[in-house]
Amino acid sequence: MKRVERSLNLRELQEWMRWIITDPRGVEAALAEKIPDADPRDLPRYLEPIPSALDCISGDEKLGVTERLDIYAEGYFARILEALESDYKRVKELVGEYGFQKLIADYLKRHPSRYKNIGEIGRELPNFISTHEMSREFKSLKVVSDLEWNATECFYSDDGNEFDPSAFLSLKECDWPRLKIVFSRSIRILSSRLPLVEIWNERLPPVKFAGIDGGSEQFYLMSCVEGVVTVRSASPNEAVAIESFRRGETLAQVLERVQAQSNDGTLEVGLSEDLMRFFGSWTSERLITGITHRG
Amino acid sequence: MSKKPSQLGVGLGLRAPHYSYILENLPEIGWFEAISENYMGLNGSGLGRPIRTLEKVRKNYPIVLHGVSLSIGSTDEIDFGYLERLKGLIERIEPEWVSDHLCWTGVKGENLHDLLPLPYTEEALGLVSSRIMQVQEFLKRPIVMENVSAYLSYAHSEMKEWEFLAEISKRTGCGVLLDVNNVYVSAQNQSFDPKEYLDALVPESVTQMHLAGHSQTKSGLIDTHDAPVCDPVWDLFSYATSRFPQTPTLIEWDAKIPSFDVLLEEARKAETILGKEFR
Repeated sequence: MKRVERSLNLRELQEWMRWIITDPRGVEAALAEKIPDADPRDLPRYLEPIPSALDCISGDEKLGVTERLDIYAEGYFARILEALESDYKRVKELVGEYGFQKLIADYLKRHPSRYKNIGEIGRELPNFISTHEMSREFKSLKVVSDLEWNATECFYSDDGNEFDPSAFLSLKECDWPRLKIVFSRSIRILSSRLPLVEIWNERLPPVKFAGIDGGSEQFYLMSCVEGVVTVRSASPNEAVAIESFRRGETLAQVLERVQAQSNDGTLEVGLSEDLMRFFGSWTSERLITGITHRG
Repeated sequence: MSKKPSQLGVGLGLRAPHYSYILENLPEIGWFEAISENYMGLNGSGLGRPIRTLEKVRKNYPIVLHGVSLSIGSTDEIDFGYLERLKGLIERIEPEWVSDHLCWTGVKGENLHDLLPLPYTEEALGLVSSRIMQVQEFLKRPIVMENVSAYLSYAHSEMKEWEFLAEISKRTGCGVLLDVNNVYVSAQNQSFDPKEYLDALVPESVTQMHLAGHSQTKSGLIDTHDAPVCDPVWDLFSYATSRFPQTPTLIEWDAKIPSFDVLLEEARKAETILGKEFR
């Protein structure tokens, strides 16, 4: 085997390999050593570590060194792109295939993966999108990306215990004010001016909501049962009640909170009836994982 | 449920598109291999639906956990947070054994999500051996290391890949997951005799074998796991079974995943060569 004159240590080799594989210009351009006209915050991604490990890479008549490095560089981007396409399907539909590739290339400059699970690599994408130039053209981009990342987290939330609805029947009248409800950890309360139900269920072509940034704020409830993530509308009463129960508050406290919101004039009347209706739908939708009236 | 490794026969990679089919039909197959990271959830979230599914499969089949992010060859510190999560998964699933790859996947805290080859030097040998010992101590069990497909080699390597792998196993007591397709792909891309690779391994160290399909591109063979096992790899597998008889063998198929029946056909073919009955 050929020996290079000055063998790099393993750390130096790995740092150089990381650079050449992830340099946004691609292997050939990166090796040409042209400093790009890039955002200063991205410049570290373009700087070749010293010493170079290029002489440590073996090529042969079958395939040169650049082509061999290209296999890894192309694989790096393709693998991450594929994972993000899966998690951000609606974002991709909104900005188009080329736009999505550009968005992800820019994202990786600022947010290279620090996760063991490739499924986690899109965690910072919604916040990144809010600062990206594309969000000026596609005003709904941040909201849609938030929706999709929430769905990923929702999917991975732990299932709770199976809840037996007959537990409600065993409550005495004096137990009800102290009632606490434990919800599935998958639940998310979202609020948006966009029609999230239609967007989630892909009933609305991206072009129809691409420029939307107005309208009145609506609440939505996202949950996951048996591995299926669903989104539905929620009333302001229901949103407040769920958030209040999730903070560990009792039914009496929840009623106070809902009433307080009602006094702001933002709420429909009939609180008790509302809550009983909510209990029914939360039970049938398997959103409740337990109840207690002690402590 | 627990069987001696040699009794496991042929298994299949457990993939999401087949969850329902497997749980509804309980097909005749010796065992399943699950990608560890797919069942470790997201940081700050739970383990979600996937772990529940894996637990259901576990009730009916032996499971082997196969990781892709241990990065045993990295010069970064060992990620004990990751190992803690892996340990939790091991305790929950009680796998037959736990494997990962003899490679590095990232450095400086970044994960490139690829199985990058190591230079085969004394320095790398010392580092990897030490890290495997630490991982085995932490997990309280020997681990199994798989050879990766490589599209390049390093001019300053001081030994052959197979010498490196055999020495790692000798120094640490870790098992070897011999990926026959990876040996073939690397042999074609780097012009060596794949049988020389197999001949160098100590038979007792080989815990498991992998079989998979690859793609022919203008850049050579790429380990894509998106096609049936090709004839030259079946031939090499036949040779491997003579060197490492009755070694549990797994069919991997990770992209363009076909119907379960297609995977079963591949498994039957492997079983015929392995010369054993299912389960």
